[in-house]
Amino acid sequence: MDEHLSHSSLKSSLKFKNNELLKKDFFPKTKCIHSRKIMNLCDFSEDEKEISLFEKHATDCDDCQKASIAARFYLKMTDEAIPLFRPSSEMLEGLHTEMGEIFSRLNFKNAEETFTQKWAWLKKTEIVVADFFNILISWKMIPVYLIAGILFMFLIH
Amino acid sequence: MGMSEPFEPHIQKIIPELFSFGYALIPDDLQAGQLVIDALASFSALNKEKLMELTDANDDELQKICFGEIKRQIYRNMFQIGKRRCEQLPAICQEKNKFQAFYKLSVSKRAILFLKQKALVSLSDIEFITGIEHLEIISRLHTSREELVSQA
Repeated sequence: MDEHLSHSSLKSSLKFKNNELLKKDFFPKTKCIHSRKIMNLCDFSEDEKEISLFEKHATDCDDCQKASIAARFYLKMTDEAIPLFRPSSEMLEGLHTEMGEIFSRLNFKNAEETFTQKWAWLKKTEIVVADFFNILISWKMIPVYLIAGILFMFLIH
Repeated sequence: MGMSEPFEPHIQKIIPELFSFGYALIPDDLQAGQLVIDALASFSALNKEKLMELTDANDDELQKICFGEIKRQIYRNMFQIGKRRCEQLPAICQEKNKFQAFYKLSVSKRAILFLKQKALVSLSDIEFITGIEHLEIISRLHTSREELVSQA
């Protein structure tokens, strides 16, 4: 179905009350329960399985197809009413300069040890300790332990 | 001027979107710019080590996590400062152009709508930025959309 046509037909079918459009004009009561929760699905569903199941269902359900078009139109309408201003190049340059000044005033060399630095230090320590124990438990150390044992016995007696 | 910090380019990249959020809170070029600078200044003064982490992180994945965390925190600072500024300067928050309906909404509703529809921020992040409970966010999102459409 042509999206533009469906939008315009939807727009012309909307009822105006005191020149006000209401959400229920977009989403009239339907028999299909899935069409009623379509906005929640659009907004907050992060579960792809749920979305694909709905899409599968919507191919056979007239109510859900109409609700999908209405939801798209409704979201487009609200989207157009929200401003998205980008800074001019002059403004952006000014902001970059000010940001640079803020960072230059802060002394980052004396900053607390970062998590990644602490992590690197811990890793290094772990390697040193593991190496130390590996040497202590190795076959090479057996003669050393034997000599130490003999010396100890000799000293006791 | 001294040498720039290695994490500066990362922060520079997000300035346009921060400015857009600032403008959604306060419809004035200079005020929106000031909001970005104030939020950045308060963030960097208190979280030097987080900025340093961005430089130290060798792994792309780790850098992405650090950057996401920083962005969330700056958005949060902007919201808190912007909310107070709107209370202090109510006249400045009345836009007379085609976005009049949007600026008639409360600051928190404007922030939620902008973050959800323009910045494509997740529900849990909106919760963190605005400090509003998630059920309340869903409710405000629906009512603010309704208000916007009814005035269209």
